[in-house]
Amino acid sequence: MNLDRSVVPTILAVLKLLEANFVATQRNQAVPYGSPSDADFNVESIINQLSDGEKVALRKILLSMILMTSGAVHLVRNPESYDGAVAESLGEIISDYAKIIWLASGGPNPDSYTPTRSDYALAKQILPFVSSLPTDRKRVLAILKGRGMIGGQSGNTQEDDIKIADTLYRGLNSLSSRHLMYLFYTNKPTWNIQRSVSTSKDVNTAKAFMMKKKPWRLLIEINNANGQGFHAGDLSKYDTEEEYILSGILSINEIEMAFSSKQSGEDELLEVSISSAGGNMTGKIGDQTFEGKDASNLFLSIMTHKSDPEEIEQETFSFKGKTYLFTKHYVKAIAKATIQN
Amino acid sequence: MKLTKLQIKQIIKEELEAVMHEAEKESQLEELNEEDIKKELEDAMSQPMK
Repeated sequence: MNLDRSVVPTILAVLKLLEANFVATQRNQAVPYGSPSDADFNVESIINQLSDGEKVALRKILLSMILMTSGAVHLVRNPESYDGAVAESLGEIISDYAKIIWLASGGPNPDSYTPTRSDYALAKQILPFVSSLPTDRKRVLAILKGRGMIGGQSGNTQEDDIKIADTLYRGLNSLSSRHLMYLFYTNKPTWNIQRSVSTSKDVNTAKAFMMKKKPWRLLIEINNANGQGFHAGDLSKYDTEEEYILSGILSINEIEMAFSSKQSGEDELLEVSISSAGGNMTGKIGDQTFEGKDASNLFLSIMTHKSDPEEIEQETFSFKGKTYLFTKHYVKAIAKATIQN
Repeated sequence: MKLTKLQIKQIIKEELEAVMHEAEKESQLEELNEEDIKKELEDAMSQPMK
């Protein structure tokens, strides 16, 4: 890997400090969220404390994250499809905030620099490692205090300004019944996200993405106790506030789906839910609870439902001799997961 | 406890229904190639959340 791994924890801590300083500076301005070019968030004094090798690593990580969050994810996934003739300059995709850091760390003028195929290839190579490193508050503060970067010159910054996401969210849509069956029937299923994926600290961002396309839809709530994930929200010009790039293996600890239903010919609304944790499935229809094989059969009936596009409640499933109506569009599914390196 | 004909009929109906569901589940699960599904889930997660 064309990146000195040993300096990455320091670079991640420095980027978090710069972000915290920026937040503190914005807070102290009469007009918050003005142009960061007008604000002194100690960027030069902090970056000047880095060695030349650390500055190189900082630029590589910064550029990789900008490429990942700038709308050309397909090129990060597949750098071979890069076409230099239509490539955007860095100036077109970098945020004002990131531009200051880029220049202070010795990067060329973004307007005259166009990311190359090698840059995308490097991003593909280093992002899984960078976005899987634990960066919990304790580690970050230890690094920054060890380098004398917090508490003195950065007087405006408070420890709470350092953003660490304890919980991250990811929305998914267009899943098939096979996908849900795997997740519900497997005891503690795992989900490989080592390619580095987009998550958000903001649950509404994940929900909005989840609703963008057709069901089945799933919201994943990721317990991020080790503070993994790179906060890339302020780096690109695109609207990516609260976006965290995360890498690792997700362990799905429990999963649940719920929706409102009516028995055929009846008006009463019944809440239906199926949950699975540790290989045990529980189903509910109204005030009736089903375990084991019955719950499994209820889940399977829902997965193999029938659809009638002419009806408002388009879907039907049968269970214990009764037919129930529901609308797949309104089915909510949520999985609770933890992330490991 | 003596069951009425209707109750016995209902129990047999439910058991049959359960057996049919089990058979259906088995056939569905056979189609679940774990490695294929894991790969599809990885791909689904690779899309940017925008």
